Amino acid sequence: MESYFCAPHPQFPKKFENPRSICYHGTPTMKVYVDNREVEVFAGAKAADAARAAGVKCISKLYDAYGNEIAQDSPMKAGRKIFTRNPKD
Amino acid sequence: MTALRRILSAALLCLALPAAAEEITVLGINDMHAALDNMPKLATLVKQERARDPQALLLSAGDNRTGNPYSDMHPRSGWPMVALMNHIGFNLSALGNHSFDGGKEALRDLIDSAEFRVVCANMEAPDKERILTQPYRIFQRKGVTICVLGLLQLGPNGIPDVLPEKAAGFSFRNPFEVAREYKWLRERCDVLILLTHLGFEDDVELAKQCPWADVIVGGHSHTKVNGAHMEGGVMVTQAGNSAHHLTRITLDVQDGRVVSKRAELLPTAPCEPDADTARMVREFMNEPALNEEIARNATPITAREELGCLFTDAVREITGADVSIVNIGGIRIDSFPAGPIRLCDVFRIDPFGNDTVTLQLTGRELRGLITAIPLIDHHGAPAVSGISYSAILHQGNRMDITDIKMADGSPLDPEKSYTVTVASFAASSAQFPHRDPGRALHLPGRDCLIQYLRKHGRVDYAGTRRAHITRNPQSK
Repeated sequence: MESYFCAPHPQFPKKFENPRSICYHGTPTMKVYVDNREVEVFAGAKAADAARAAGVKCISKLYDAYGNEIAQDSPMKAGRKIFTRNPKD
Repeated sequence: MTALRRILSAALLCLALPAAAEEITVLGINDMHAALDNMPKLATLVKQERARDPQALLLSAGDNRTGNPYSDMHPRSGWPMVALMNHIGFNLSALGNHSFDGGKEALRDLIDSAEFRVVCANMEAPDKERILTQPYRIFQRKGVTICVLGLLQLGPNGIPDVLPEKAAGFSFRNPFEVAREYKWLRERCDVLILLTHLGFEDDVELAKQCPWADVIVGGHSHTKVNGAHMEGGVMVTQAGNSAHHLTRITLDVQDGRVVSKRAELLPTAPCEPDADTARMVREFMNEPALNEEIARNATPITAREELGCLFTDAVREITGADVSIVNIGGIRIDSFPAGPIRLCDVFRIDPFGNDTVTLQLTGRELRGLITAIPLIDHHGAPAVSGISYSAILHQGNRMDITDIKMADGSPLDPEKSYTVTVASFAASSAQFPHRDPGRALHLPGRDCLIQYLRKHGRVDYAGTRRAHITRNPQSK
């Protein structure tokens, strides 16, 4: 995936000026880890979103770094590590 | 005298011995997310636990609502879950990020209607809103003083993960800082519980920063902790989500302190549904509000793309984006008759409730996104609003776009920046070159559709086509 994110591009305004819009830009990138592989996802992504972004085709169970099973809609935050297999096994 | 001496000796011996430990039971659950179907079984499990220990405390670590239209779309949004929690006998709940989803009035109504208190130490509501939460609550059980402090997660923007306008006017503080400020509670109670909606990993960090706490009953990350995680001397628990499990925490308290602690994750699935609770759930699921007519469809819709155009127009108008895209597989029905559009119909159109993600994309990147979507959605080309496009769809769903125009007929500028919204499923799955990874709005597309239909009242999308696809099955 050619996705990359650097410091805000000068072309992109920090805040979208359209007063009708509730969309605005300027959120820091959210890098998370799926099976110890770094993946960039949109802020607010869930565990399943991160797994999909990492190219996982069939998501059955997901785990956190402590070996706990997590729900597919478990909210991600920057730096979080999730796994498609129990890392404690 | 000898008998008297014996009695006195025995009395002195009793005074010298430590008091027997009291066994305190705490039941923890989190992120029930309006799982009405599971509440009857949860009720049975709680009854069984209270038969074991009638003084068991039942705590929710937040996000009781949001996840079921029969609760969320009730005329009193979220009320069914509060009613059921009252019926089951919850003692306390933390605030979750979804507590704000219904807006200030709904939150106030739910807190006022609850027979249990709501705790959150790192949030303050605007005075005029009269939203009555407390930072902590103290219980007495078997002569043991138990204090429960509530804490709520904050996202990178300093508010919980919620549509920002829903949290407008509230002020929030860093939960870790606030927790440390409440260390003095340790001296005022025998058992100190942190009832948190932070996420498991943050709970572990909180345990490191607050080693004087006994237990953390946590939520938010939907983590199923088998038993408990011990971080230093602090027990960290979480019971998954959707009322599939309950954590039983057992604390032995002696001479004013916890001398041993253990936890067990109990499933609700094996329990028989409690009849009274099931009756309440049936009543809520017969709620006429979901059959409310919210708009009228003028002409029969006969293609999924027409519904997709309605959906994307709704998202684009409500969010103010330049362009809105939906993977056509996210639209789950192919047709819609003329006549009333009811609230329940919206849930048939979009049963997934995907969040809406906003990205800043150049015209070139936008073309890449549209091209990438058929590769992750076997239903084919996406539906759009704000643009129209022509493309050739090859075997294997590889698509070559031949032309993209803005709604006013002008060509898409490959270098210009556009605000684009797309469903979270497509945002995470589509592989295309782009700089902005995007941001979830915490606003499902379905909610945009409801707002749009209510606003316009009458819609007519028959024959609306914005994706002009030529299929070329012979190409590689």
